[in-house]
Parts: sequence; C-alpha cells; structure tokens
Amino acid sequence: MTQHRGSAFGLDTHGVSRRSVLRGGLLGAAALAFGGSVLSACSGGGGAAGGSGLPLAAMPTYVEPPKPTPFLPGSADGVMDVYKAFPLDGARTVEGTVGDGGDFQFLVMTYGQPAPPLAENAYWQTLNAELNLNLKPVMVPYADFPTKFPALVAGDDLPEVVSLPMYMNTPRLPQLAEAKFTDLSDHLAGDAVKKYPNLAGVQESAWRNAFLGGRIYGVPKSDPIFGGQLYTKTDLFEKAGVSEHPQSLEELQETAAALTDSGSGVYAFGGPITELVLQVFGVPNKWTRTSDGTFVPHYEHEGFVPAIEAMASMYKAGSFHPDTATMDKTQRDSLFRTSRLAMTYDGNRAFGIIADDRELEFGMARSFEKDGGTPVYWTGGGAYAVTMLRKTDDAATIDRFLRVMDWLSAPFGSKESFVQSYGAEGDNYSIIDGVPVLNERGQREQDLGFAYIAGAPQILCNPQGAPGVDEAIHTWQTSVVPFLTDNPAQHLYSETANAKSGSLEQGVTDAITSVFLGRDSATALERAIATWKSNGGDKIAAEYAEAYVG
Amino acid sequence: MTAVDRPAWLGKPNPGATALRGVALVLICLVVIFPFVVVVSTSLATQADIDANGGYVVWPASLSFDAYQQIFNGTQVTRSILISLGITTVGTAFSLVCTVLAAYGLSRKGSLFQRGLLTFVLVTLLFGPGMIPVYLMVKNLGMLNTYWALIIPGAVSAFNVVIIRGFIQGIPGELFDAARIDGASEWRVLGAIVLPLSRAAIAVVGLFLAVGYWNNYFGPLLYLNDSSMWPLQLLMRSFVLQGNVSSAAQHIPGTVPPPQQAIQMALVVIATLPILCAYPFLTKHMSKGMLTGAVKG
Repeated sequence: MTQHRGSAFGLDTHGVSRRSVLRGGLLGAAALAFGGSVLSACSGGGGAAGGSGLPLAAMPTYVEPPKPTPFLPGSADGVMDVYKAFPLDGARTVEGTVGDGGDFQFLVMTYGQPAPPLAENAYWQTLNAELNLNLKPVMVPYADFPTKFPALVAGDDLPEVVSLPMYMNTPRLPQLAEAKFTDLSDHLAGDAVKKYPNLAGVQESAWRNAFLGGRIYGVPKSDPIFGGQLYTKTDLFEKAGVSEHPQSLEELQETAAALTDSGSGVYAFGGPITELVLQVFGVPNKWTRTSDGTFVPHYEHEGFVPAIEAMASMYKAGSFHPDTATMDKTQRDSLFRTSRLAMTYDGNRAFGIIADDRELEFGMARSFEKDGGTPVYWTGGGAYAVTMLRKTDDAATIDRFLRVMDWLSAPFGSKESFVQSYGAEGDNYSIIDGVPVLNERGQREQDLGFAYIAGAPQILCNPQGAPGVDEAIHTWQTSVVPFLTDNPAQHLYSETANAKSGSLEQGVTDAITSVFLGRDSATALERAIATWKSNGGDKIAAEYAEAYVG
Repeated sequence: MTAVDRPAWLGKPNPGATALRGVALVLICLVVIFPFVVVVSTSLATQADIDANGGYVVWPASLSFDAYQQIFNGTQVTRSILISLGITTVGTAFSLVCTVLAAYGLSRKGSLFQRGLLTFVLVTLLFGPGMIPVYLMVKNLGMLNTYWALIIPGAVSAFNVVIIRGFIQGIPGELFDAARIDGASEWRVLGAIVLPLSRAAIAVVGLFLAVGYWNNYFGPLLYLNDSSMWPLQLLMRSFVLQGNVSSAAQHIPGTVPPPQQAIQMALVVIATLPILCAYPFLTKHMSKGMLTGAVKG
C-alpha cells in the first residue's frame, strides 16, 4: 500500500474510494484520526525471537504464478503488467471445493453504499456458489472504522475474519494480533505456503505487512508500490506553451506562473503538493537508516524546510487557487476536469479523474530533482490491507480460512479472478466485442468488499476506462522505477509511534500549513520539528533502530 | 388609559417601523431558506451545471432527476427509509410511554421511593456511561443486531422526565383532589386529566424524541452488523461523508453517472423531508410546550 499523502491541511476525507485508496489516494486523514504506526520487523531467517518469544517466521517462499502474456509486461521492480481485456477462458487455479457450506463472517471497510442484500445480489450468490460458503460481511464505512473496530475489540465481538487496512494504523496492532488473532506462521512461513499456490504468488513487499512481532498473523491484499503523482491538464499546458514534464524546481515555478490566469479563474494548483516538493528536494522517504544503524527522520533532512518554503513562495506568487486551504477532493477533481486547475497531485490512478470522464485528456509528470539531478520517488507499503483469522486452534478452520484467501489471491487471467472481477454473466456483466463489460448492477453489487480482503499482485486492465490511460501509467511507472526510495521504518514497530505519532505529527503538519499559507515564517516549522523530536520523535528513532533486524 | 399611559406595544404601529421589520424578517427568512434552495437545486443539477458553479447550484440551467433515479435504483434506500420510519415510530411511542409514566410517578408527593428514585434519575444528568460500557450491556442483553438496541438504551432521558414532571406539577392540585373524591384511580387520573392537559409538553418532547430517533446513526453503526438493517441516516453517511456511490464504480459504456454532489444533496432532501412534513402538524403545540417551566406562578 502506498504511504498516505498526509494532507497539509488536516482532514480531507471526501472523494475517497476503495479504488483510489488501493491505487494510492488520499489517506492522511485516516492515519491522523487513528494515530499510531506500523508493524513489526520481519526477517528472512530464524535466530532472534519475535515479540511473542517465538522464533521469527521465515518469509513465505515466492513462486511466480502463471499469467497470460501481457500487452505490456511489467517488471520485478514493481511496474505493473498491462492487459487490454480480461481473458474469458482462464484456467482454474484452486483445486477442489474451497468451503464447507458453513458461514464465513468477515469484517471489511467500505467506501460507498453497502451492497444489496443477498436475495437481490447475483454477485454475492455467485461467490457463495463458487466457494461453497455462506458469506456474511460486516461492512463498516470508512469514516466510522476507528469507532466501530475498537468497540468490537472491547466487546470481544470480532467476526471470524477481520480485514484491516494498513493505513488505518491500528493502535498496538502486534499486541492485538497476539491476543486476538491466529498465528499463521506454521502454515505460511517458508515452503509451507506452497500448499496454497496462489498465496505463494503474492510478492514479498506485500507479505512484509503481515508480519507482527516477527510472526505471520494475516494474509495481505497486494498493492502497487507507487505513491502519488502529478496529473497535468493537457489542454492548459498546450495553451500556455509549456511542457507537462518540468525538470527542475525553477521550471516548475515558471510553468505554474505561465499556467495561472487568475482573471479567468485558472490556477496551477488547487491542493497540497507537500509530498511532491519534498521529493523534488530529495527528502528521503520518511526515515533514513545510516551506516551506524541510527534512524534519522526526514524532518531533519537539509531539504525539508526549504521544500516547504518553495511551496509557500508559489502560494504567495498566486499559483494556488484561493480556496486551496478548504477545497476537498471532489471539488478539486471538478475544477481539474473543467480546466480551471492545471495540475493536481493525487494517488496513482486517481479514480475520480479517470473513470468518470472518457474524454478527459491529461498527462502524468515525470519525477524530477530541483536542480535537474537524480530525483527520489517514495514507495508505499506494498499492501492495502491484512486479513486475519480470529484466534483458534482448530486446524480445519485455519485451513478453510487459508483456502479462501488462496482463492481470492488467484492471479489475473484465472477463472477465480474473473469471477471476483465480474460475477454472474447477464446479471453483472455481458460480453461486448469479446470484452467483458460490467453493468451498473455488477458495479453496485461488488460493494460487498469481499474481493478486497486479499489479492494477487495488481495489474493494469481497464478497458472501460479512458483509452490509453493504462499504457500511459505503465510508461510513467517505468520512468520512476530507477528512483524508488523505500522507507526503512515501513514495517518496524515503535511503541511511541504507535501511541503518539498522530498527535506528534499534527504539530508539524499545522506548522507546514502555517508556513505554506504565509501565516508564519520557516522558523515556526523548525520549532515544530524540534518539539516533535523532544516530545517523542527521538524516542521513535531509537525504537526503530532497536527493532531493525539487518 | 391615555396615550401617555398606554404601553408602546399597545399603540398604533409606525408604518416606517413596520416596513423595516418586514424587510428584516424577509432577509432573515431568505438567509435561512437559501441553503435549502441550494440543496434542492444541486440535487436536480447536471454535471455541467455543477462544474460551472463550482460545486453548488442556486438555479440549475436544466433539470435532471438522475440522482434520485440512481438512489432509488434497487431497494436499499427504500428499505432504509421504511426502517427509519419504523424505528422512529416505535421508539418515540415507547419512549413517550416510559417517560410519561416515570414523570407522573415522580410528580406525586408521597409515591413509594419517590425521593430516592428522583435522585437516581437526576444523577444520570451529570454523566454518561461511555460507549464501551453501553456496548457491553447491549451485547450481554442479547440485543446486538436487533432494532431494540437502537430503542431501549436511550429510551428514557432524565431531561425529558424532568420537563414533563414539571409540567404535571403545574396542573392545579384541586383537579387531582376532585378526581380522587369522585373515586378515580391513579390510572384514570393519568388518562383523563394529566394526559389531556399535558398535550403540549408531550408533543414537544415527542417531537424531539422523533427527531433524535430519525437522525440517530451512531447506534446503528455500533449495534447493527447486517447492512440490510441499516436505517437511512447510516446509509446516507456512506454517500455524503465518503463521497462515493460505489467503490467499485467504473465507466459503464453508454451511460453517464450522475454527479456526486447531486446524489449527496438528493439524499439530504430525502432524509430531511419526513421531519419537515411532520413539523406543521405540531407547531400549534410548540409555542405552548416550548415555554414549559419558563414562567413560574
């Protein structure tokens, strides 16, 4: 899963969809609301004990899954395969019956309306028949997950299966997992995963999210490693006669000035570009691990404060829409679509832009460094969610859970993946010119959320979307792969970060907003960073250093 | 009474002052009504109108009912409206019965344990139990995933009991004495004397209860795991707060999805309409009931 963008203006929950989240949409608000940090270190070998005192589990062995020949091949670095259409004749990858005819209750977060009930839901009925299970979803709206989930935990009322989105930063997740969920290490570590071939086809970057306290407690929903990108409105760039790929900070500033025409209500930007400018200034991905094992936060990088100052200077120059501080994603998308915003920074494959308007012509700017040097590009966590099984010793229950996850992780092109994507022919989709096309009912019924609790590595295949977009994304991904910069603390657990990072970082976020809007000078940001360090940041760094297993 | 002795409000109104008052009232009404107009207009607007107006439309150039069609496509919204109506009706009736009985019992001097029970009720005004203890109580009583979880925990509010109790205490004691002399039981006194005379207070409390039950989304969020049981407000929350009709939405060839803002505003209209319709029938009780307890003697 991508790292959240961390809105400079605090909460911005509008326009979040499962698709935009899965492909790197707006996530900062959720992280701030829930607070906390991430998962325990994982390691590829035995030796040192995990938090539970048990030996560290081995990484599940990767076995490349069978897949159809892509239109544009991806790469092991993370570039996604591109397909023109979903194969209609894919082979089955799961042998035998998956379920036992019983109930399968699962907790899943939703981003839209709940799916129609079973009696009216052909997609749900199809899944039940395919799996030989009675699926019983507990759907929780995205905005209410931080309220509902703790109530379920406190009431000891967790469903059998729980899917936890990574960006929710569940407090004390390793301790929660140890107390309430099943340790799956014996069934998934090393070669044990080969019993479930599709789970063996999930990549390591996703599996790292399932390690808690050094043990495997869940199955990941695989996600692209890419984060945000700068979308450009082609017609405005052509009209201004500037390139959609600025290659330096100076060029970006000149481009923004050339695109802005406040008299006509056209502006270069309408939303926060904090992560963009930080990467332009070469700021590392949240943390850096030095050669002596020390963890250094990106706040201390020499480019951090100058990056925010550069963003503030563009705001002062009038390149930002006057309503930038209060605009939500829906309004921003609307202004971008109607050529009143020239650029918008959003998640990879921002859903609201692509799917709604097939006539929308836009580009994706390549990464660049402020002086034209080698840029950096922040990677994400590799998984959207981790799905866990409520604590049990019953081998049959564990095996059933893993077989369901195996079915869900079937690779693109397989029969199982097709059923998950399209449902029942006639009711949910029809074949038009050899291409399966989801209808409105199929679209609505997929809000069941079942297909999002686990999954194989994602690909680019959107025949119903704007033409040429999948290829453009592939090109863009290929261009940033040489500059991918990981966060060494991505999968490390820090007690202090888990308990306090939300409130700690709020101070820095508020200072960034103040400096950006011109209310304060850069010294306010420096003071906020110093406060962050003294109130817990240094302790977090020390805890990460201790948790790191080389 | 001479012109000098007569109070100002009994005198002939000044035409200029009357005109000014009228203008001020019209402006205030416009300010109040304007957001409603925007909500309804936006719900009937097309994507082009919404984009041209920056998100919210005062007067749409062309009318579109696509948002309403999308919402009522399928049975979810219709079912959730019926669920909300059912919970509101049953919940309000149940709460009123419990509240009136409690208020009447606590208003009679000399009732068994009156002082202790009244203190017990008043203490609940000071603090609440918190979300988790209530959740555990609902769970232990076996009410999870039932509509009773939305009604019973919040059925009786100490504040409402105090309001109605105060109103009942304002009824002249001679009426009660006369009834008792005539041989009326407590139930007969309650039904024949107290309830008819307390109509205003009961109507106001009932209206507030109904609005509370209608607007309640937090209880359904916590206690109802089955989404087919969700009332309208919780379903609306998925649309309005999260800003999406469907998380799996893709472009369907040959169709243009209605704008998100239009769908959100249409839901606001649908959720507000029943309460707006109920208000006119209760306004005659509001003016009297609102002042309950405001004037002594």
